[in-house]
Amino acid sequence: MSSPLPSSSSSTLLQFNPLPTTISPSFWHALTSLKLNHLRLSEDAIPVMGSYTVGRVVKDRRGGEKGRIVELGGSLSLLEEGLGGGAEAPAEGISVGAHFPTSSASSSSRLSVTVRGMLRNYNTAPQFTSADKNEIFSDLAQEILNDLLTSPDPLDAVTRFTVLAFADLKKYKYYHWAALPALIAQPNWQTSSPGWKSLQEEWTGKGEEEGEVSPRRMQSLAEAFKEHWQRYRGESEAGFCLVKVGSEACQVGMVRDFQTFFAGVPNEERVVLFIDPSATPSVPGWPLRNFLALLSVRFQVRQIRVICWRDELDDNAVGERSIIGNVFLPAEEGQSGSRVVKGDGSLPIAATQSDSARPVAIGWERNTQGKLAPKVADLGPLMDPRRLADQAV
Amino acid sequence: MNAIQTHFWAVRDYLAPVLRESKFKEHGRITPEEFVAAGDFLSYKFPTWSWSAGEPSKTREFLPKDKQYLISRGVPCLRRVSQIESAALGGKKGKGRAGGGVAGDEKMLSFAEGQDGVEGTGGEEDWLATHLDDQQQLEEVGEIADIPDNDPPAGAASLTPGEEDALASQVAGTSLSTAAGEDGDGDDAEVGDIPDMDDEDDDEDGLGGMGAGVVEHDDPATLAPPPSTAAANASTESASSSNNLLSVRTYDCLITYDKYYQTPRMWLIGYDESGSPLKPSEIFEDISSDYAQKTVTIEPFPHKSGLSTASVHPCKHASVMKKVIERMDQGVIEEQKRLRAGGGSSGGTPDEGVAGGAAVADKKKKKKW
Repeated sequence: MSSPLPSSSSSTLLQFNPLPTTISPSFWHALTSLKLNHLRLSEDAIPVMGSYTVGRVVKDRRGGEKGRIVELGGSLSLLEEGLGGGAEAPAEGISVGAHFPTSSASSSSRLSVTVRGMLRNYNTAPQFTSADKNEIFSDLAQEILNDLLTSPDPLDAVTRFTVLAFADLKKYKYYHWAALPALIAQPNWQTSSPGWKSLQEEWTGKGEEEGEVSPRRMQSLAEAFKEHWQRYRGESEAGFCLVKVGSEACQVGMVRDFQTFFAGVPNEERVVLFIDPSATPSVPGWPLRNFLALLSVRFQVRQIRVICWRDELDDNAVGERSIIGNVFLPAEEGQSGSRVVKGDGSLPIAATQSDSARPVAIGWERNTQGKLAPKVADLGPLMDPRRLADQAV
Repeated sequence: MNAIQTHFWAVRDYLAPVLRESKFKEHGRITPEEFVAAGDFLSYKFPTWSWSAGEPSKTREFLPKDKQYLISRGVPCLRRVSQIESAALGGKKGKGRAGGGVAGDEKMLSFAEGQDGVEGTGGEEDWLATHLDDQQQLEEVGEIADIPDNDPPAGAASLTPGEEDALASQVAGTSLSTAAGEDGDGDDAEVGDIPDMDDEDDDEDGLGGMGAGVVEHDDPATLAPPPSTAAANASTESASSSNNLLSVRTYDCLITYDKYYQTPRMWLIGYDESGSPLKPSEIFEDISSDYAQKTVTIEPFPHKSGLSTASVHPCKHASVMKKVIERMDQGVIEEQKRLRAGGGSSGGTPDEGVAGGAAVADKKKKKKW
């Protein structure tokens, strides 16, 4: 940490754990009635909301004492309450159910982050098939980059997603494909050795390099972050914050205040925190990817300490599963790839071959086989009255 | 048949008076107020549970508008019941359960079903069965755990018709033929990828075709999906391998108040590993055949129109609760404390699977006692 740009030998490539989607039957049910009653044949994109929670781990109890730890990464769940509840409801009367942030999200005290996206529901399978997905994706990536650069609320763009769907209402089959575009950094972010460490260990353990260590610091961070999360719950803001680490107490700040909040704080001591849906040790979740992009394009961050927050806030053992690590953008070795050009400079974001203003992104959801293809939810057995009648009692 | 019965139940439910006086100690039944109080306590103690309002048109007037039912999302179910049953305890039918699987939960909520005999020895055991099994299976774990989910369930012989269906579709899936009929895609055939030439759907391309044209170049910074251990460090590697062995389904557990039976009622909505909703036949893979389609059936969920899902029929619930109360009166409190401890850890850090959730649900009832 003393040298902001360690040599590549002491660092590893920072990887991100993709965020899969989980879509409940009731979401499709809500979409069905929305389509029948309001959308009808419209294929316009409609705003949807989703949320993700911290990843979890469960112990496989069949292993007894030595039970294996099974990771249960968080997933992006689309909630029917969010259908049409976005900021820019396209038409009157489209909202279904209550507005998301005030209803179900607030009744649960589980740590979750609300995210916004768009859903395009195609009328026919061929339309779904022939939709120019690459263009939709690339446009969204461009929009994300623009918002990261200029939007007053850039965190909204960090987690923006899109879902393409085709609802076969007669058969109660819902084809869908989600994409969470993440801008590709150029060069890629690196984790400095020794890599990710447990936050608790780092802060309340020996504390070699931290010098003064107080167990209260952990508590202080948890409290400050909890306050931050509760204030902004229902917004993407809740999932990300800045942390000023003192020897005893921690302060958290809003990401948009980066310059003022970290004024006078040396680069090496700047810490950011995000709610991490990944449960894989040493691999942070997908939202960090655009978050780092935001930090790098908007605040010229080249090195930062990151806390991947993985604990529920009500736990007594706060910080047990959260991890902390130092990430940096290595100095570019030659011209390894084209970067997005903006004004007279370039951003540390990979650009497409053809157009140096367009960012490269990645993030179509893969199916179970790891292939790029839509998923299908077959709800016939759960929703089709005819087939329900066939279920034996 | 089912439809008629369902309608009958709906009418009966409508006609049934709302219970006003607490009958918990006498009959194991509870009033809506008690349900709300218990739910408040449950969600306070275990934030994985939260109240939900449901569909406005389906609001039950005897419950507060924003507290119609309880939901706990994403409760893991690590194994199919068939994987466990092969290793089950010999004499006790259906006692071998997925480590914290939904099945255990079934049993816990419905063990009185024709099992009064068992109950004499097994009343409390039922509550703890998942733990017991876990320990007994310790030795076998290596062997069992390695069975990937794609294998046809070992317990196929004892499958109910619904499960046979699922089995058939699984087999169909593994041989890359999706002609398994209406319930076509087995869990592992995994809808997504095998060209979904289902039924009369003429979309020959299926899903693969639907995704045509989308190409993403290899990205070293994206964590590879579990099967390939491309990750840079050892911890990721071990994580991947453990994922290989288990197909972790998740369940949304919902608890409603059943007006006719005056008890809480458990509902389950399942998802496969990729987050797609499970079909009933697949849900029954997680429920012991003792209960699948008997105690556990697919019913319309009362707070969403047009949605049906698996539910534990509540007819025996009250008598079970009553027995529990009696047992507790007989000084089984120690046992309860242990369970409480178990439930506690599951609620705080939801690491105990569905059974953990069920333990919580049970705890909820106990709290009233």
